[in-house]
Amino acid sequence: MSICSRPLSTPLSRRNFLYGTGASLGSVAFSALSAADNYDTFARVGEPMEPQIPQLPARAKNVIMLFMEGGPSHIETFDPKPELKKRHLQDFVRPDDKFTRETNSNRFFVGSPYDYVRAGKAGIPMCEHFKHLQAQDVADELCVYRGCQAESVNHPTALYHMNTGNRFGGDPAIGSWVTYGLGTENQNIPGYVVMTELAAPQGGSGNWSNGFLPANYQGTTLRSEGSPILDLQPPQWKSREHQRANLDVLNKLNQAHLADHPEHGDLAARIENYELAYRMQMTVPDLLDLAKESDKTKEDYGIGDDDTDSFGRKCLLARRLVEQGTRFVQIFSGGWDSHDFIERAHKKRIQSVDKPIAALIRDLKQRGMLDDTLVVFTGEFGRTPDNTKRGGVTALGRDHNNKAMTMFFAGGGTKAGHVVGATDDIGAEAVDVVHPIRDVHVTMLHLLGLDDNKLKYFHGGRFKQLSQFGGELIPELLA
Amino acid sequence: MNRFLSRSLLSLSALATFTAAHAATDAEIHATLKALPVLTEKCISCHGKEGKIKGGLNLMTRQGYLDGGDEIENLLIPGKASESFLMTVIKWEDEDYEMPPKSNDRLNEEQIGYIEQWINDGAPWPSEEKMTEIREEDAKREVDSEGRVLVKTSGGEDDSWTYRRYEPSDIWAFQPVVKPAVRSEDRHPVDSFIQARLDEAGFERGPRADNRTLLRRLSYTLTGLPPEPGQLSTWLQRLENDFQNEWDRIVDELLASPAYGERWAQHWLDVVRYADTAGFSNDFELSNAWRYRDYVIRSLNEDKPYNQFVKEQLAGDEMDPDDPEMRVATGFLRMGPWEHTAMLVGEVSRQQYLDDVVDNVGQTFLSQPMSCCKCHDHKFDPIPIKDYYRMYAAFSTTQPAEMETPYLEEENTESFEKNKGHVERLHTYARSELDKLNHKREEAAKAWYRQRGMAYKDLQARAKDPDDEKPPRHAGLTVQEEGQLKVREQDTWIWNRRRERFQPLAQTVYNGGYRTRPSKELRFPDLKNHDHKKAHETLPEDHILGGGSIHSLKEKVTPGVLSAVAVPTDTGSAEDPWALPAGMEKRRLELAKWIADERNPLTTRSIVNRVWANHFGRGIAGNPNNFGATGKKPTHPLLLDYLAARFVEDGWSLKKLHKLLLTSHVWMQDIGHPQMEQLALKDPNNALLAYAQPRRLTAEEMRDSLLTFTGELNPEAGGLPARPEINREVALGPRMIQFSLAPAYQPNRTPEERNRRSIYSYRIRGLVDPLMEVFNKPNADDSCEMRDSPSVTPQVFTLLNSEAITNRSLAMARRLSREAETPEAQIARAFHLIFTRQPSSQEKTSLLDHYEKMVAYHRGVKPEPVEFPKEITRSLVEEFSGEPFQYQELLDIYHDYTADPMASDLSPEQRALADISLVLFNTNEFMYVY
Repeated sequence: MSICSRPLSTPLSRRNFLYGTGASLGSVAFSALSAADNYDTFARVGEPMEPQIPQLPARAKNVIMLFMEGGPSHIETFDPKPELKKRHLQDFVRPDDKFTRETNSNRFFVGSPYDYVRAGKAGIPMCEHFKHLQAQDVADELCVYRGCQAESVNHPTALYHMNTGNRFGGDPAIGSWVTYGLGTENQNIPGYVVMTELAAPQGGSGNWSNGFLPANYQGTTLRSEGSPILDLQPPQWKSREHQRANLDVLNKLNQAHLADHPEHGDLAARIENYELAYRMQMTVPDLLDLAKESDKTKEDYGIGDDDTDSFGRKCLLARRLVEQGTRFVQIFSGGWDSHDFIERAHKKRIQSVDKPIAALIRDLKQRGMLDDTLVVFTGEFGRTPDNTKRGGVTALGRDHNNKAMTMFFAGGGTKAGHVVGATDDIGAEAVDVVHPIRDVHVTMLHLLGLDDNKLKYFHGGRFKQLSQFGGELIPELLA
Repeated sequence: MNRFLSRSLLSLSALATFTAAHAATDAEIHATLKALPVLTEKCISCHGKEGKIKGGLNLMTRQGYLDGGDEIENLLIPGKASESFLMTVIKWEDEDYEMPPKSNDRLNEEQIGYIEQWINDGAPWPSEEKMTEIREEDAKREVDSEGRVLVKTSGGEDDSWTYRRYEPSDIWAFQPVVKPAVRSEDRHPVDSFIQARLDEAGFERGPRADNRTLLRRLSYTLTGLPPEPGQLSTWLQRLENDFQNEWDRIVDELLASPAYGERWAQHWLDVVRYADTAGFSNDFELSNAWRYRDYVIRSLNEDKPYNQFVKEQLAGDEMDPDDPEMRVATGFLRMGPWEHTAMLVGEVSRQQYLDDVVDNVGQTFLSQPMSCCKCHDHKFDPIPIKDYYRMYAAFSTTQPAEMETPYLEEENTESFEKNKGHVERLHTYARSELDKLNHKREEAAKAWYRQRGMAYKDLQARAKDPDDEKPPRHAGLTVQEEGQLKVREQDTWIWNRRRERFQPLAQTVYNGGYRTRPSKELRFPDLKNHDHKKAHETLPEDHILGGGSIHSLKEKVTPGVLSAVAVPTDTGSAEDPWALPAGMEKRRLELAKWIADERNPLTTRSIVNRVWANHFGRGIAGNPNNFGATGKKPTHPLLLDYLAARFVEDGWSLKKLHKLLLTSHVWMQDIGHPQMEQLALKDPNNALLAYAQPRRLTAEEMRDSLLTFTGELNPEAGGLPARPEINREVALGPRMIQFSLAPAYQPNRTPEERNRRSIYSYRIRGLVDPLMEVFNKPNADDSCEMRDSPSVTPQVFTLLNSEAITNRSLAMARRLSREAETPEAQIARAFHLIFTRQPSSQEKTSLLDHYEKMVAYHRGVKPEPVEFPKEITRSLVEEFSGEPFQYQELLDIYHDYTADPMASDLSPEQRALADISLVLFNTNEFMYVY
């Protein structure tokens, strides 16, 4: 679509940015044009990543989204179900089989193997293994939400749904929408950063794709090993000075070409991108260098301890990125799909994230950043109150459940020290303050000062938005 | 006979003047036709429909408006619009009450006016009978006083939809194609239409671009490859002598090149979403999907008439079940991402498949996204939900399958032998690792039985035994080994499946009843099995699905086509001119015939618009996948119709259409125009097409061009997907699939196998080649009507630093040092190959100077050879234990790998030449086509 309009001359009003320069003005100009026909559609101004003034009063400026991939069990985390313990191993019969396959064969109730504690002033119920989140100063910041319902019970479709609003993928991720809507504060680092666990989640990069939004808004995956950004550095046998020399010659050739083609607006933008890239080769590695953090901080995040090192590093990086002006950071933690042996599996997973998350919340708070930063902890769906025999063996676990799940928020204008919504007495489905995923998205955008109904983009002949067809705010979550 | 009847449905024939039904007042007419339909459309989905009563407000009746809702008073005061709160909310004047809340749905000025008048009229609400009477009376005239027309369809969910009127400009695509007269016969017909608009706007036509620019443009648009320098100079000479005739001949020569099909197939594959894997959890390989890719290339190269091309892709199997080519063609119906696993409900997956097919058939052939009317009548276009489900029914006997389909002589199976070794090695490796673990577990199991004095039972035999009568599931295995077991089981399966690459299978469809089958293996049912046979022979029953839900079966439907298109089917009747066969067979064939009917205006406009878009960078209608009311309207509607009509006259020949467009002046225009300043003001988006748009090379054009410059391109056509080198961090990066990690991406062993044209690259939905992605190759999940090409910084990293591009620069350096002696000659050679011109003296000086500096630099640097890993240690969180575990993955390809040129093998002088080459690869002169 961006191909349609050709700016006759691209005024390089200011220095250009990471992820782009005026070359995509086509898209921008077009979306602004179309917006004129459709009142109240958000029209971004300036360069693709230029900070935008939010449409609504914003409570949060940035987001750190902690994504527990695989479907963390609400029953083993923040939603205790004593009733299940009573019915442990009793036969379970599901009333219908329309929505899930997990209804056949002998099913039985599974009581949680864990005990619960009550944390903070509000007495938020929390699984015993959240040793660090239960500290009062952290627990008092949490807003636990139990009312969300997913639609899909399959990992990739549910992941796509939570990340992009569309179960079948292909649409822009929430981080892309947010950077599209708000731009980013530091033009020399990525605006939307994704850090995956050991492996990319099911569905792969579709989970942080810019979809139909311009490529500027795609999530940048930062790697903890190797090159943090793909091909950020030249091969070993090329020095920085050497590269500078090459760039200088390139620039000469490009300038001569520009002089011959004054009508072609994309040229100047592309030239500027080379300079930006050259600068980024310095700024990005610097940003990721944890040597500048104190030993105490690293210890707080669990860095250096095998169980927590990987997630802890990412949490600390998330804070550094947000501090430097990154708009949206997403961290994946894998391995939550405990169909079997949930007792040891979930315990391990909880331990791997508990300390780092507690440190992150505390650190943000101490630095005065928590008010501006919305921390979201979620998975793609919750888990069932029941289980079946698999491989003929009773190995206690839980299957996928799209009717109930767990998530919590901290900071960013959410209601601190609260539990919102509830599931039924066996945790089979949400029954209070029940909302679909799109409403969580609408609420997150709202906290950032973005109106989902206005944050739209013309694609394939119609305006599209994160919630697909509009959603509702969840006022109970707001401070 | 009803052919003629239907044809006139949209014609604007003279009609009886409208007289109000007896006793129907103007106010009642206004309420029925204008005001109440707006209120119905905008309000009742939250306030009254299907029991949903938000804010206590039920707006299904007049009384509901009078009663108001929670905290809402004076919503409606009949006769007094200014005092009615309804006006406040629809005008969004009260921040707390902005209705409807979605700005997409907000009422426009005209609609607000309707409501205002209705209230001032006393808010009349005629009885159902009276409304029907008014609508029927209104329907007698096709055009209302505001110029809006009715469209006859099979009918919507309610009468106000059925009788709603459309702006003619919103339903332009549904109107029959009428070939317009060419304004000025002395001109090229295409230019005649372009000139008409330029004249109107007071602009002269722009100059023609110079011959060199034109030939480069032509070469890229038809073949996706740069002109060969020697060829170019011959062409230039020929044009010099006789432009008119020689241009025609050059166009013909390029159209006859096999590279033409490879280039234009890519456009088609973008639309149909070609990939070699199926996406989602497992990203299963679609074994031999390449046969469809090659079918498209062949069809284009032989200039198969487009109507035939359409029919084969939709119903080739029904046209000639014995022709393997026809089965391969219906691979079109298998291109979407789709999977069904035991985690899902069969009927839900089945619906997902059919929804995807219906939507993609609509977008691809009719430029009409169908998903917009899956849950309700179309909000803007004349397509009722019923038509959606009639089209859905056209596919409800279509079952996806891999079917035995003999290879054709023209299919490239030569690389099978080379590729078998790789698959066999990895299968054997996975199998032997699995056997070791199984053996260890079974030894422990034997010990367990022995200790209890029980007879040993193998895994299957003991499966159903109670837990306390058999050994633990992972007996004898460590936590590490538990994880490894699952991985090896998956790998064994995956590599076994990949053996199918060498079997004569095709991804295609067959007709029959539905039976839930996991998509890991989709085969024709075993008819000896009673249950399978029964399912296979059971004719599905088709319904409208309320709100798009399979749990809400509404009215039954039979297969049919889009009723708003005034073209009946061959199998239609007087009562139902849109009907398709309702038996097990021929539903698709009759649908295909209807789509490929020369009178179907959506089809012919769609394809000529696509071809135009790919030559001009923009469609005449700006959304090639969406001709609906919300899509961009055609800038030159008469031209579009001329092309559509002419296309049919020319026997649906795409090559003739290309020729027609490529011989027009408008296509040959320069990017500049003498009146540029005025144009910038009056026509900032160049809607008049007064000058040409430069465009950036696509990802494929860029890579294929570089391989051409270096002389590495292997022009071999077709066959098994090629596996080029991709960024190794991405290739080896772990990627989750169900239960395990996907095997690493391993390139082909030799450069010849790797350096094929990009259209032949292995397309994995879950793993994209970052080089392609960063240059905007679209994802394979959504139909892509046009590529996007913004300039983003990661492109710089890729073009400057990546191994793939670095290797091209090294290969180029080798070629230059082989083909020219002195640095000066080498630089000149590089310019000749890449830019097909000589460097200016300034360029020569500056590059020679750079070369000398670089040689000096490289003399002081010793590049290390690239080391290729022969195996890789994987780490994954094991779901049973929540703990990470490790395993080794074999990278067999690197055991006898023929690497690309490496810096360590090149002299400092050659590396300096590589620097020069890399700089030239990065120039705007190379990246843009003018």
